[in-house]
Amino acid sequence: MIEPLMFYMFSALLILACIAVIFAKKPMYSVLFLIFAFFNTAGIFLLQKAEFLAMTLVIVYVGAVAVLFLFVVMLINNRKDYQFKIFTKYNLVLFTLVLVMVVEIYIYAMKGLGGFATPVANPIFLDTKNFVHNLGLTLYDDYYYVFIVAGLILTVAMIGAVVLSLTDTVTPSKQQDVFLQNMRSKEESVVLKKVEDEQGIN
Amino acid sequence: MDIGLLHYMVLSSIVLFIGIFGLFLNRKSIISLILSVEIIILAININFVAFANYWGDFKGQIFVLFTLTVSASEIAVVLVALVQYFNKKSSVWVDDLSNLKG
Repeated sequence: MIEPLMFYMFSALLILACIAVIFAKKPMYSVLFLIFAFFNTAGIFLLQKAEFLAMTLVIVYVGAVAVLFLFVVMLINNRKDYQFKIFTKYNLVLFTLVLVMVVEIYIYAMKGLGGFATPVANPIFLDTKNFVHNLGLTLYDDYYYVFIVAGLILTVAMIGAVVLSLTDTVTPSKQQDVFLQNMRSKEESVVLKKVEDEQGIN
Repeated sequence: MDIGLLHYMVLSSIVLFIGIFGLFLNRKSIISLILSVEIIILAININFVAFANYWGDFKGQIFVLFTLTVSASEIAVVLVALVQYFNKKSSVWVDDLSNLKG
Protein backbone atom coordinates (compact mmCIF):
# COMPACT_ATOMS: atom_id res chain seq x y z
CA MET A 1 0.00 0.00 0.00
CA ILE A 2 2.73 2.43 0.92
CA GLU A 3 5.02 1.59 -1.94
CA PRO A 4 2.62 2.34 -4.83
CA LEU A 5 1.65 5.54 -3.07
CA MET A 6 5.27 6.61 -2.80
CA PHE A 7 5.98 5.63 -6.37
CA TYR A 8 3.05 7.54 -7.80
CA MET A 9 3.79 10.60 -5.70
CA PHE A 10 7.46 10.70 -6.64
CA SER A 11 6.83 10.03 -10.30
CA ALA A 12 4.03 12.60 -10.56
CA LEU A 13 6.19 15.26 -8.95
CA LEU A 14 9.13 14.26 -11.15
CA ILE A 15 7.11 14.60 -14.34
CA LEU A 16 5.65 17.93 -13.25
CA ALA A 17 9.10 19.21 -12.34
CA CYS A 18 10.52 18.17 -15.70
CA ILE A 19 7.67 19.89 -17.54
CA ALA A 20 8.25 22.98 -15.44
CA VAL A 21 11.94 22.99 -16.36
CA ILE A 22 11.03 23.45 -20.01
CA PHE A 23 8.24 25.95 -19.61
CA ALA A 24 9.63 28.14 -16.86
CA LYS A 25 9.81 31.83 -17.54
CA LYS A 26 13.24 32.48 -16.12
CA PRO A 27 16.31 30.24 -16.30
CA MET A 28 16.75 30.39 -12.53
CA TYR A 29 13.34 28.78 -12.07
CA SER A 30 14.31 26.08 -14.57
CA VAL A 31 17.40 25.14 -12.58
CA LEU A 32 15.47 25.09 -9.31
CA PHE A 33 12.83 22.83 -10.81
CA LEU A 34 15.61 20.58 -12.08
CA ILE A 35 16.94 20.32 -8.52
CA PHE A 36 13.45 19.35 -7.41
CA ALA A 37 13.37 16.69 -10.13
CA PHE A 38 16.69 15.32 -8.88
CA PHE A 39 15.32 15.02 -5.35
CA ASN A 40 12.30 13.11 -6.61
CA THR A 41 14.57 10.83 -8.59
CA ALA A 42 16.53 10.17 -5.41
CA GLY A 43 13.24 9.13 -3.82
CA ILE A 44 12.59 6.75 -6.72
CA PHE A 45 16.06 5.29 -6.34
CA LEU A 46 15.34 4.69 -2.66
CA LEU A 47 12.28 2.68 -3.63
CA GLN A 48 14.48 0.42 -5.75
CA LYS A 49 17.00 -0.46 -3.04
CA ALA A 50 19.65 1.87 -4.45
CA GLU A 51 20.33 3.96 -1.37
CA PHE A 52 23.92 4.73 -2.26
CA LEU A 53 22.91 6.02 -5.65
CA ALA A 54 20.15 8.13 -4.14
CA MET A 55 22.58 9.79 -1.75
CA THR A 56 25.17 10.15 -4.50
CA LEU A 57 22.60 11.88 -6.64
CA VAL A 58 21.71 14.29 -3.87
CA ILE A 59 25.24 15.02 -2.73
CA VAL A 60 27.12 15.03 -6.01
CA TYR A 61 24.56 15.83 -8.65
CA VAL A 62 22.49 18.37 -6.73
CA GLY A 63 25.16 19.56 -4.34
CA ALA A 64 27.88 20.14 -6.91
CA VAL A 65 26.57 20.10 -10.45
CA ALA A 66 23.25 21.85 -9.93
CA VAL A 67 24.89 24.46 -7.72
CA LEU A 68 27.39 25.06 -10.52
CA PHE A 69 24.42 25.50 -12.83
CA LEU A 70 22.94 28.03 -10.44
CA PHE A 71 26.13 30.04 -10.34
CA VAL A 72 26.45 30.05 -14.10
CA VAL A 73 22.80 31.03 -14.55
CA MET A 74 23.33 33.88 -12.13
CA LEU A 75 26.39 35.02 -14.05
CA ILE A 76 24.64 34.85 -17.39
CA ASN A 77 21.67 37.09 -16.76
CA ASN A 78 19.78 37.28 -20.01
CA ARG A 79 17.12 39.88 -19.62
CA LYS A 80 14.80 39.33 -22.51
CA ASP A 81 12.51 36.32 -22.51
CA TYR A 82 12.28 34.13 -25.50
CA GLN A 83 8.69 33.28 -26.33
CA PHE A 84 8.31 30.02 -28.13
CA LYS A 85 5.15 28.79 -29.74
CA ILE A 86 4.22 25.25 -28.84
CA PHE A 87 1.80 24.48 -31.65
CA THR A 88 3.70 25.16 -34.87
CA LYS A 89 3.70 22.95 -37.91
CA TYR A 90 7.20 21.71 -37.16
CA ASN A 91 6.20 20.63 -33.70
CA LEU A 92 3.22 18.74 -35.07
CA VAL A 93 5.52 16.20 -36.71
CA LEU A 94 7.49 15.95 -33.47
CA PHE A 95 4.38 15.30 -31.38
CA THR A 96 3.19 12.60 -33.77
CA LEU A 97 6.55 10.86 -33.76
CA VAL A 98 6.80 10.96 -29.98
CA LEU A 99 3.27 9.64 -29.61
CA VAL A 100 4.05 6.78 -31.97
CA MET A 101 7.23 5.97 -30.04
CA VAL A 102 5.49 6.01 -26.67
CA VAL A 103 2.70 3.72 -27.91
CA GLU A 104 5.29 1.43 -29.47
CA ILE A 105 7.27 1.17 -26.24
CA TYR A 106 4.08 0.42 -24.38
CA ILE A 107 3.01 -2.33 -26.78
CA TYR A 108 6.39 -4.04 -26.89
CA ALA A 109 6.86 -3.81 -23.17
CA MET A 110 3.43 -5.28 -22.57
CA LYS A 111 4.18 -8.12 -24.96
CA GLY A 112 7.64 -8.81 -23.60
CA LEU A 113 6.95 -8.49 -19.92
CA GLY A 114 3.41 -9.81 -19.91
CA GLY A 115 1.58 -6.89 -18.44
CA PHE A 116 2.03 -4.51 -15.57
CA ALA A 117 2.17 -7.03 -12.75
CA THR A 118 5.60 -8.44 -13.43
CA PRO A 119 7.20 -11.06 -11.24
CA VAL A 120 10.67 -10.49 -9.93
CA ALA A 121 13.32 -12.46 -11.77
CA ASN A 122 15.75 -14.76 -9.97
CA PRO A 123 18.00 -12.39 -8.16
CA ILE A 124 21.72 -12.97 -8.01
CA PHE A 125 22.76 -11.99 -4.52
CA LEU A 126 26.33 -11.75 -3.42
CA ASP A 127 27.12 -12.85 0.10
CA THR A 128 27.51 -9.37 1.51
CA LYS A 129 26.35 -7.53 4.59
CA ASN A 130 25.20 -4.30 3.03
CA PHE A 131 25.31 -2.26 -0.12
CA VAL A 132 28.68 -0.67 0.33
CA HIS A 133 30.26 -4.07 0.87
CA ASN A 134 28.67 -5.22 -2.35
CA LEU A 135 29.78 -2.09 -4.15
CA GLY A 136 33.35 -2.57 -3.01
CA LEU A 137 33.42 -6.20 -4.07
CA THR A 138 32.00 -5.53 -7.51
CA LEU A 139 33.42 -2.16 -8.41
CA TYR A 140 37.01 -2.83 -7.48
CA ASP A 141 37.02 -6.44 -8.58
CA ASP A 142 35.23 -6.59 -11.91
CA TYR A 143 35.25 -2.98 -13.01
CA TYR A 144 38.57 -1.62 -11.85
CA TYR A 145 39.50 -0.52 -15.36
CA VAL A 146 36.35 1.52 -15.83
CA PHE A 147 36.89 3.03 -12.39
CA ILE A 148 40.39 4.21 -13.30
CA VAL A 149 39.16 5.56 -16.63
CA ALA A 150 36.43 7.47 -14.81
CA GLY A 151 39.09 9.02 -12.61
CA LEU A 152 41.02 10.03 -15.69
CA ILE A 153 37.91 11.59 -17.20
CA LEU A 154 37.38 13.63 -14.06
CA THR A 155 41.00 14.77 -14.07
CA VAL A 156 40.82 15.85 -17.69
CA ALA A 157 37.55 17.69 -17.05
CA MET A 158 39.05 19.49 -14.07
CA ILE A 159 42.12 20.55 -16.04
CA GLY A 160 39.92 21.62 -18.92
CA ALA A 161 37.66 23.71 -16.71
CA VAL A 162 40.61 25.47 -15.09
CA VAL A 163 42.37 26.10 -18.40
CA LEU A 164 39.20 27.44 -19.99
CA SER A 165 38.75 29.94 -17.21
CA LEU A 166 42.13 31.61 -17.73
CA THR A 167 41.82 34.91 -19.53
CA ASP A 168 44.28 37.61 -20.34
CA THR A 169 43.29 39.67 -17.33
CA VAL A 170 43.50 36.79 -14.87
CA THR A 171 46.89 35.58 -16.03
CA PRO A 172 48.60 38.35 -17.98
CA SER A 173 51.45 37.05 -20.02
CA LYS A 174 54.73 38.37 -18.76
CA GLN A 175 56.62 38.46 -22.01
CA GLN A 176 59.35 40.89 -22.87
CA ASP A 177 58.91 43.22 -25.80
CA VAL A 178 62.50 43.84 -26.91
CA PHE A 179 61.52 46.56 -29.39
CA LEU A 180 59.81 48.59 -26.66
CA GLN A 181 62.74 48.09 -24.39
CA ASN A 182 65.15 49.35 -27.03
CA MET A 183 63.01 52.36 -27.87
CA ARG A 184 63.13 53.80 -24.36
CA SER A 185 64.45 57.35 -24.28
CA LYS A 186 66.25 59.15 -21.53
CA GLU A 187 63.36 61.54 -20.92
CA GLU A 188 60.82 58.88 -20.04
CA SER A 189 63.11 56.76 -17.89
CA VAL A 190 65.12 59.11 -15.66
CA VAL A 191 63.92 62.13 -13.69
CA LEU A 192 66.17 64.44 -11.72
CA LYS A 193 64.61 65.60 -8.47
CA LYS A 194 65.88 68.16 -6.05
CA VAL A 195 65.62 66.81 -2.51
CA GLU A 196 65.56 68.96 0.65
CA ASP A 197 67.53 67.88 3.69
CA GLU A 198 65.88 64.98 5.55
CA GLN A 199 62.82 65.12 3.35
CA GLY A 200 63.00 62.10 1.06
CA ILE A 201 61.06 61.44 -2.09
CA ASN A 202 57.47 60.15 -2.05
CA MET B 1 -1.14 -3.56 -7.65
CA ASP B 2 2.57 -3.99 -7.06
CA ILE B 3 4.97 -1.71 -8.77
CA GLY B 4 6.77 -3.80 -11.38
CA LEU B 5 9.44 -3.12 -13.93
CA LEU B 6 7.04 -1.75 -16.50
CA HIS B 7 6.00 1.12 -14.25
CA TYR B 8 9.57 2.32 -14.01
CA MET B 9 10.12 1.83 -17.73
CA VAL B 10 7.08 3.94 -18.55
CA LEU B 11 8.24 6.63 -16.13
CA SER B 12 11.70 6.61 -17.68
CA SER B 13 10.31 6.90 -21.20
CA ILE B 14 7.99 9.74 -20.20
CA VAL B 15 10.86 11.71 -18.69
CA LEU B 16 13.00 10.93 -21.75
CA PHE B 17 10.39 12.33 -24.08
CA ILE B 18 9.91 15.39 -21.91
CA GLY B 19 13.62 16.00 -22.28
CA ILE B 20 13.40 15.59 -26.08
CA PHE B 21 10.50 18.04 -26.13
CA GLY B 22 12.63 20.47 -24.22
CA LEU B 23 15.42 20.10 -26.76
CA PHE B 24 13.07 20.88 -29.59
CA LEU B 25 11.11 23.70 -28.01
CA ASN B 26 13.93 25.58 -26.30
CA ARG B 27 16.29 25.77 -29.18
CA LYS B 28 17.15 29.40 -28.72
CA SER B 29 18.60 29.42 -25.24
CA ILE B 30 21.73 27.45 -24.47
CA ILE B 31 20.96 26.99 -20.78
CA SER B 32 17.62 25.38 -21.58
CA LEU B 33 19.32 23.05 -24.03
CA ILE B 34 21.79 21.87 -21.40
CA LEU B 35 18.97 21.40 -18.87
CA SER B 36 17.01 19.28 -21.35
CA VAL B 37 20.06 17.07 -21.92
CA GLU B 38 20.28 16.68 -18.15
CA ILE B 39 16.67 15.54 -18.00
CA ILE B 40 17.38 12.91 -20.68
CA ILE B 41 20.38 11.62 -18.72
CA LEU B 42 18.20 11.46 -15.60
CA ALA B 43 15.67 9.30 -17.44
CA ILE B 44 18.40 6.91 -18.52
CA ASN B 45 19.62 6.63 -14.93
CA ILE B 46 16.12 5.73 -13.73
CA ASN B 47 15.96 3.04 -16.41
CA PHE B 48 19.29 1.52 -15.39
CA VAL B 49 18.40 1.40 -11.72
CA ALA B 50 15.00 -0.15 -12.52
CA PHE B 51 16.63 -2.97 -14.44
CA ALA B 52 19.28 -3.41 -11.76
CA ASN B 53 16.51 -3.88 -9.23
CA TYR B 54 14.63 -6.26 -11.51
CA TRP B 55 17.52 -8.63 -12.11
CA GLY B 56 19.05 -8.17 -8.67
CA ASP B 57 22.27 -7.49 -10.52
CA PHE B 58 24.75 -4.86 -9.61
CA LYS B 59 26.01 -3.74 -12.96
CA GLY B 60 23.10 -1.36 -13.47
CA GLN B 61 23.85 0.68 -10.40
CA ILE B 62 27.57 0.78 -11.14
CA PHE B 63 26.85 2.03 -14.62
CA VAL B 64 24.74 4.79 -13.12
CA LEU B 65 27.77 5.82 -11.05
CA PHE B 66 29.83 6.20 -14.18
CA THR B 67 27.05 8.01 -16.01
CA LEU B 68 26.92 10.50 -13.16
CA THR B 69 30.68 10.93 -13.33
CA VAL B 70 30.76 11.60 -17.05
CA SER B 71 27.73 13.86 -16.92
CA ALA B 72 29.18 15.95 -14.11
CA SER B 73 32.50 16.45 -15.90
CA GLU B 74 30.75 17.30 -19.16
CA ILE B 75 28.56 19.90 -17.45
CA ALA B 76 31.57 21.48 -15.79
CA VAL B 77 33.47 21.96 -19.04
CA VAL B 78 30.41 23.11 -20.99
CA LEU B 79 29.44 25.68 -18.36
CA VAL B 80 32.92 27.14 -18.11
CA ALA B 81 33.08 27.49 -21.88
CA LEU B 82 29.64 29.11 -21.82
CA VAL B 83 30.69 31.65 -19.20
CA GLN B 84 33.79 32.56 -21.17
CA TYR B 85 31.77 32.96 -24.32
CA PHE B 86 29.22 35.10 -22.56
CA ASN B 87 31.97 37.40 -21.32
CA LYS B 88 32.87 38.16 -24.91
CA LYS B 89 29.49 38.23 -26.55
CA SER B 90 26.97 39.12 -23.80
CA SER B 91 24.25 36.96 -25.27
CA VAL B 92 23.15 33.35 -24.88
CA TRP B 93 20.86 33.15 -27.84
CA VAL B 94 21.90 30.45 -30.27
CA ASP B 95 21.33 32.74 -33.26
CA ASP B 96 24.22 34.94 -32.17
CA LEU B 97 26.67 32.05 -32.13
CA SER B 98 27.75 32.64 -35.70
CA ASN B 99 31.39 33.52 -35.31
CA LEU B 100 32.51 30.56 -37.37
CA LYS B 101 30.08 31.22 -40.16
CA GLY B 102 31.93 31.70 -43.43
